[in-house]
Amino acid sequence: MFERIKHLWREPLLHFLLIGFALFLYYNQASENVEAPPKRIHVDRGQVQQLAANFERTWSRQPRPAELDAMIENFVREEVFYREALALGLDQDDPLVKRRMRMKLEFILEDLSAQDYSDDVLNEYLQRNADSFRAEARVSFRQVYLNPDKRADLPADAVRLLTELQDGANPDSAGDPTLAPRAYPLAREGEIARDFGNEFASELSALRPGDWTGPLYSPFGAHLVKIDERIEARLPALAEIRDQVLREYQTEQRKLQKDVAYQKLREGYEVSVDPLDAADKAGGSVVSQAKTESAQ
Amino acid sequence: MDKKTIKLKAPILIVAVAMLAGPLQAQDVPLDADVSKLLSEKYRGKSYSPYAKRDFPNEVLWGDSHLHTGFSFDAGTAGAILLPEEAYRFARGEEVVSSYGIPVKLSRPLDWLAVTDHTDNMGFIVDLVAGNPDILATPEGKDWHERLKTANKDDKPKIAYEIIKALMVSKTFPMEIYYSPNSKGYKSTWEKIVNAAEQYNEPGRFTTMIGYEWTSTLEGNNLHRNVLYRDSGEKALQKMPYTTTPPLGSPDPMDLWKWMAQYEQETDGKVLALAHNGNLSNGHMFPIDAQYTGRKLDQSYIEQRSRWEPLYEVTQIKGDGEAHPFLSPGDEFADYETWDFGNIVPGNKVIAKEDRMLAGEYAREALKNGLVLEQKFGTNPYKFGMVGATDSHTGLATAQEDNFFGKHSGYEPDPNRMNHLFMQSDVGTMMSWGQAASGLGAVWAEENTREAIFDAMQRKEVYATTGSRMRVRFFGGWDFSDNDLRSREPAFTGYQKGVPMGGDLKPASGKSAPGFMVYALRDPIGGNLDRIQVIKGWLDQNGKTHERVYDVAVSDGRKIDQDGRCKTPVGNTVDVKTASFTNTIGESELATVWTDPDFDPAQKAFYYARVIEIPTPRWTTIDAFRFGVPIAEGAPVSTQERAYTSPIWYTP
Repeated sequence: MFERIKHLWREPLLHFLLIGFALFLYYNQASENVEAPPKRIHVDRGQVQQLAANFERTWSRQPRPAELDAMIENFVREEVFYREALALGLDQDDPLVKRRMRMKLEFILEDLSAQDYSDDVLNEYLQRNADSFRAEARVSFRQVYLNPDKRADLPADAVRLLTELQDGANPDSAGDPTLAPRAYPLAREGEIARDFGNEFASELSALRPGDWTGPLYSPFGAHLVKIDERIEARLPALAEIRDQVLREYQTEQRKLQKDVAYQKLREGYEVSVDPLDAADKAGGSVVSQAKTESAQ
Repeated sequence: MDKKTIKLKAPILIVAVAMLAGPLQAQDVPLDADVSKLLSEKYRGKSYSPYAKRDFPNEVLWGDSHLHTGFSFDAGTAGAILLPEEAYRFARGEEVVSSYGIPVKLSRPLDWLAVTDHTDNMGFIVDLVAGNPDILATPEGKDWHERLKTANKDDKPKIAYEIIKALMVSKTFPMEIYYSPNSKGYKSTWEKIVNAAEQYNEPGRFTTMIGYEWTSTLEGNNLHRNVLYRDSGEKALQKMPYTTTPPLGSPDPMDLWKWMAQYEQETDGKVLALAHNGNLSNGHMFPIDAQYTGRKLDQSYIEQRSRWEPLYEVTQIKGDGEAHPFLSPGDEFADYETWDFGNIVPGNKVIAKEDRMLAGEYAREALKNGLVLEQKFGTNPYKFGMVGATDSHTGLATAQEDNFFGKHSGYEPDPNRMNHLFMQSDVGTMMSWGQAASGLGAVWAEENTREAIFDAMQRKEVYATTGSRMRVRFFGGWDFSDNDLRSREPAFTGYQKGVPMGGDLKPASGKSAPGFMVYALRDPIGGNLDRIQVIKGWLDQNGKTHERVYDVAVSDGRKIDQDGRCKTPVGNTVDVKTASFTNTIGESELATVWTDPDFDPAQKAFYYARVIEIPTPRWTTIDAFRFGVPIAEGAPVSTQERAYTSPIWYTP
C-alpha cells in the first residue's frame, strides 16, 4: 500500500493536478486579498547593464531604449513567474530553470484553458480575423516568355509579340522556349510567387480576365500573360475550416490567458528599475509605471 | 473576327471551335485534322484544355524530412525551447522567435514538414532541466542538472554530447531515470508531437508528416534512420515509436524493420525509413559484406533494407554525402561540404576516419555496390532515391545561406558562431564553420497531401538540393529527341516516352542506347545554373563497378569536350566584402536530351542528374558581412549549391 502511494506520488499527472489546484487556490486568495503589501522587484543597474551586454554580444551595438525596455519587461516577467514558482516550492535559483519554470507554469495555464468552443465564439473570431482565414484568390493564366539573354531589344519585341498574340497568334509557339509551365490552372498567389517571385505574383494579382497583356517581369525575364479565369479571394464558412479556426482561437486564448494570469500576478508587485543613464543622477531607484488597475 | 487569319495562325483553335459548333461547320475542319490524332500530338495530357488536371505529378513540393524540436534531448540540452507547433508555424511561413530570442521567418514557406524528434529518452530533457526529484536522486542526473544550471550557450552542447554518450556509447546512463516507450513522459511527448502534426496539416496548402528519428549510434557509428508515416495520428498513436535502447528498443536496423512490419500489420498503416549521415558511420552505413555486428549480409537483410528504405537523406547540415574525392578522384565537384574526420562518438574526441571506411559511407558508392549485391542476392538493397533535409535541432527548418540558424540553438546567429570546436579526431577537426546550410527535399507529387507526398517518396520521384529551390526534371527512355524538349510542356513527353527520376528504364526496344531528357530552372531568388551533369555507375562483366561524370548542358556557350567534360569553370561573381553576387554568369535554365555514348546493354547501370549553380556567398561569408567580423579561417567564401536527382536504373 505504501509502495503504491509512493508510486502514485511520482505520477507527473498528479503533480500537474496538484500544481493546478494550488495555482487556483492562490489566484483566489490573491485576488481577494487586495490589501496585501506589494512584493518588490528591483531591477538594479548591474542587471540592466547585463541585459544590455547580452544584447550587444549578439548585435554588436547598444540596444535602443525601446529594445531595452522590452528586455527589462521580459526580465520582470521572468522574475514574477519565477517567484510565483518559488512560492509553490519549486525552488532552484538559476536562469535556465527560471525559463523552464516559466514554461512549466505557462503550460499549466495553457492546459487549464484547453477546450472546445462554441460555433458562435469561433464564428465571431473568424469574422474578426477574416484576413488570416481568407482563401487566396486563384488565377488561371498563360504566359509567353521573352528571354533577355536572347533579345537585343526586349521591350520592342514584347510590344510586337503582344500585338501578334492579341491578333490571335498561337501562344504555344510564341516567344522563347522556357521550362517554366506555360499554363497555370487556378493557381494560388503563393504558388505563383514560389515559381516566379513575389513581384510577378503581386503584379499578376492586379490583372483581371481579358486579352493578352504585359510584359510582367520575373527574375527569369519578361512574360506576356493572359488571365483566363480568376476566382476572387473569399472567406470560407466556419464549417469548412472549423479545425483551423479552433486551432488559431485556442492559440490566441492561451496567449491571452497567459497574459491575463501574468498581469494578475504582476499586480502584486511594485517594480522598480534603475535605467542605465539616469541611474547615477537619480542616485536611487525609479518606480516603474507598473499597471495597478484591476484586470477585470 | 476574320476566320482566315485564325485558321492560318491557330489551327488548334479552329478545331476546338469546330468541335463546339457542331456538324454545321464541319467543313471548316482542315482535311488532315484527325482531331484525336492532332490533340494527342500537340497536347499530350489527355485533355485539350491546358488547365485540366494532369494525370502525372506536376507539382514540385519543397520540404524538410528531418527536423528536431525541444523534445529531442540533445536539442533541449543545447537550449532549444521551440516545440512542434512553432516548427510547423515557422515552416508554413509565419514569423516566430528563436530559442534565444531572435525573430526569424523563411524567405518562402515550405510546402511540407516532418518533425522527427529522437525517440531515445524522448521528453526527458524537459524534466532534467526543471529538476525532477527522481532524476536528481541519481548522481548523474544531479551532476548534469547542476552543470546545466550554470552552463552558457556555448557549454550546453558539450553537456548534451556527454549525456548522449552515456546513453548510446558508454552505457553509463542510469536506466532508472530513462524515459522508455512505456513511461508516462515518453507517451505524453509522443501524443504532443502527433497532435501538433494533426492540427497543422492542411491538405492542398501545407502538409505535416508524422515521424521520428531512430538514433542508433553503436560505438559512435551513425546508423540513424528517420521513420515517416503515411497515416493519420489515430494510427500513429496506436504503437509507441521505436528506440535503440534494450529491452524495448534495439540499435540493430533489422529490429527497426521488424518494428515497421509490426506497425503496418497492427494498424494497417504505412511507414518508410530513410537513413542519413553515412559520412559519420565509419564505414557502416552501406555494408558490403558484413553488418556492423560482424554478421554476414544475408538474403533477409538485403530484402528488408530494399523493402523499408526507398530513400536516403544525402545532404544536410552535418555534411554532404553524395560523393567523396577519395572514391571519385576524377570528379572535381565531389569534395563538397565534406565531413570526414571520423564518426560521432559524442564528445569532442571521436574515432578517426580511415580511407578504407569511405566505400561504406557515400551514396554514389552505395548505388554502385547495390548493383554488385543485386547480382549476388537478386535484390538491390541500395536502390534508393535521394532527398536533402536540415537535421536542424532548433525547431527551425533553415537551409538558405542568408537565413541559417545553425545545427542547434547554441549556433543561432552571433558573431562567434563560426569559431567553435565542433568535433575532433586523430586525423582532423571540425570547426563550427563546417556546418552546411543544407538541405531540402523536393517531391514531384500530384497534390499537396500527406498521402501524395508519401507515395512520391515511395516511388522515389524526389530529389535533394543543398538548400536552393531549383526545379529539376529527369526522364529516361529510348526515343527522346531534342524536339521533345522544345514541346509545349516537356513533362508530357517525359512521362509518355519514358520514366521519371526514381524509375526503371523499360526494356530496350531495339535502340542502341537510352536517352535522358533533363532540364532545370533556377531558384527564382537564387543563383544561375552552371551546368547539368549526368552521373553514371555500372557493373562490368568481371563484377567490378565503375562511375563516370558527364557534363550534358553547360552555360554561357562553353564547350563540352570529346570526353564529355567541360573544363572551363563558370567563373565567380561573389563579392566577399558585401557578401553578394550577380547573375551575370550562368543561365537561368538549362536543358538537354543526352544519349549514353558508352552504353552496353549487357551491363547493369544507374544514372542520376546533378545540377550545379554558379558560386554564391556561403553562410559564413554572410555572417562575416552582417556582424562585421572576419570569415573563419578555412571556411570557403563561396558555395555552389546543387541538386541531386534520384537515379534511373537499367537492368539487362
